[in-house]
Amino acid sequence: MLKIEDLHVSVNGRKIINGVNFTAEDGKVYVILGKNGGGKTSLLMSIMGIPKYKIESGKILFNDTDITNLGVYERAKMGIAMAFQRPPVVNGVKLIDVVRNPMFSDVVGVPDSFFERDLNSGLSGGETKRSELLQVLSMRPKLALLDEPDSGVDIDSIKYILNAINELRKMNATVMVVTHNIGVVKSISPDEIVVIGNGRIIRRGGVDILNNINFNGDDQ
Amino acid sequence: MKFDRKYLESLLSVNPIGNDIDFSTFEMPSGTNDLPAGAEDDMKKVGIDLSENNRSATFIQNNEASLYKNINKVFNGKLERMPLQEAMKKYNIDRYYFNAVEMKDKFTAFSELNNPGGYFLRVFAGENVEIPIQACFLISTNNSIQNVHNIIIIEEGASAQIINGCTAQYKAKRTLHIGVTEIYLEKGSKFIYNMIHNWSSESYVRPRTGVVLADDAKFVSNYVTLYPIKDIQTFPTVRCDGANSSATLRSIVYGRAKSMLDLGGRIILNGAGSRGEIISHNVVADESNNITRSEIISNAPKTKGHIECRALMASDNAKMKTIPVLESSNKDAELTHEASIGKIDEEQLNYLMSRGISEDDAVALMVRGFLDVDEMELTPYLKKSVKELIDKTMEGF
Repeated sequence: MLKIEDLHVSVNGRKIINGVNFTAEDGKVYVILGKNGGGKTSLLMSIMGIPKYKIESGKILFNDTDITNLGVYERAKMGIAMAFQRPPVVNGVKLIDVVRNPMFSDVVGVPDSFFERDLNSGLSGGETKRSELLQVLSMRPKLALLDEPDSGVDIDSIKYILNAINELRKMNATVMVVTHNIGVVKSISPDEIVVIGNGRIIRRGGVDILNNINFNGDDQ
Repeated sequence: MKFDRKYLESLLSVNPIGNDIDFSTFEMPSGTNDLPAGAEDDMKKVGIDLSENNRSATFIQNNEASLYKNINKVFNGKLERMPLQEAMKKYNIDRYYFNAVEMKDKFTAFSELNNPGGYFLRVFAGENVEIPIQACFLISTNNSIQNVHNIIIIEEGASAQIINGCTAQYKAKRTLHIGVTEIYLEKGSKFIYNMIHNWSSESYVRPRTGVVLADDAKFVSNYVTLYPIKDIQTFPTVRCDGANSSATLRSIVYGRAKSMLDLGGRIILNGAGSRGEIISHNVVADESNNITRSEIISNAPKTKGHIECRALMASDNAKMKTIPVLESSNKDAELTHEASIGKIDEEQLNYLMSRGISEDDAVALMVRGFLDVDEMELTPYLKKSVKELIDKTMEGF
């Protein structure tokens, strides 16, 4: 279980998370909506432990362990994995160097040729997202943080993204998905929807709240 | 002797680039006629395979003695190879002797004054030698000089590749290798020159290499050095004299311990439409001092040249200096260069660590990736060997 208590985070001295309290239960899927710049990516990066996202105060607990001061590697080893929205190109390092378990390549439609390519180099939008999901699946995470896995992808890729989320469900992983696509949200059929704005959670609810908000999480 | 002795002796004080070396602190022992103990393992580290199955011809020089010069039977009639001194008796090779390499400093003069060892290699016109030729320069005696002069001729339309492995045995801690290598590519020929160095941390190395290309000839040099070395200085010069000839000089350099690595190369584009490319990747660790000098000079129309020098700094106590020079006397020459010196990228490092890879392993993966051999035009076997060498080097990074 993930528990976040009064979390405040800054990047380069600028506050971007302003007191988030949030609890995610095992095996449940949470969709995170909100305007760009509202703090969605920052929240996921803070949970993953990326050092650029500096925790000023508050706590992150994962399965009753305080991970607030742990590094990204330690968190990954505890079962937290992230599909990055814009992963860096790592020249000379191949997907096969990172993915030790290629058994999920069919789930996300990744051909064998991907494994010998440099990480995130020369991939299309959809290919990048599928490569990210493959890496997350291969870690068999307890908590999967998926940052806009559906942005800039084609219809086929959306099918694979849904496959990946179903696979994570089978693993009983907790999933947090950031998206702007209401159609995808409906297909995922999440356990809960969380709307973030100005670095805070401004709304939570079931799928029924989609009747009242748009893809940015604003009232409509 | 092609040169006047007094002239050669006057050059013995000329040291234009790099640290000076006092010859009198070394000896010149003759080698033995047998391979010294442990030599096979030492040679494997520089890509030399004595099983012969994977090689077309072999030449080994131990100190000053030439002791192995087999030619795989399949390649009889495609090439010839012999000690240089033997070739000088058999043929008149004046026009190949100190032509590609200029006689201009104390190392070339010393070599000429002291009956160098080394080989003569000729690949016959039109022959395609697919399996690599190999040569190993081994130093097995401490405090010794190895003096080598090689001449390679790739005749018209022929193609070949060579693996030169240079190594000093454990007991030969302090050594000096002087290597003059002159390579001539005739019309339409192709030659890949692979050089793997594994000297000792007290080795001084002064290669003096020159290459001359005729029309449509193609030359590729792949240079790999991964182990600590005391002091190497080399600046091979490639003359693309022929129209539409091309030269590529690639190097993978891993500066470790207190190495002084003054490397680089010069390509002179004299032929119309000729092209040159110099690419070097340096990892600079420990207290290593790396200098990369790259120079492309265009003297002919429609020539193209590109220099790329990338360095990854892995230590605060190391130094990296890159000196790219582009020179043109032609209005439609196209010459470019890019150079960068940087550290391990934090974003990439955290990304790999988020995949459950420890910091040490992630750094090693990135360094290995930076020393990428996939771009080198190597045979699959040699590529595998070099990758294994890099993996070995990374242990305990």
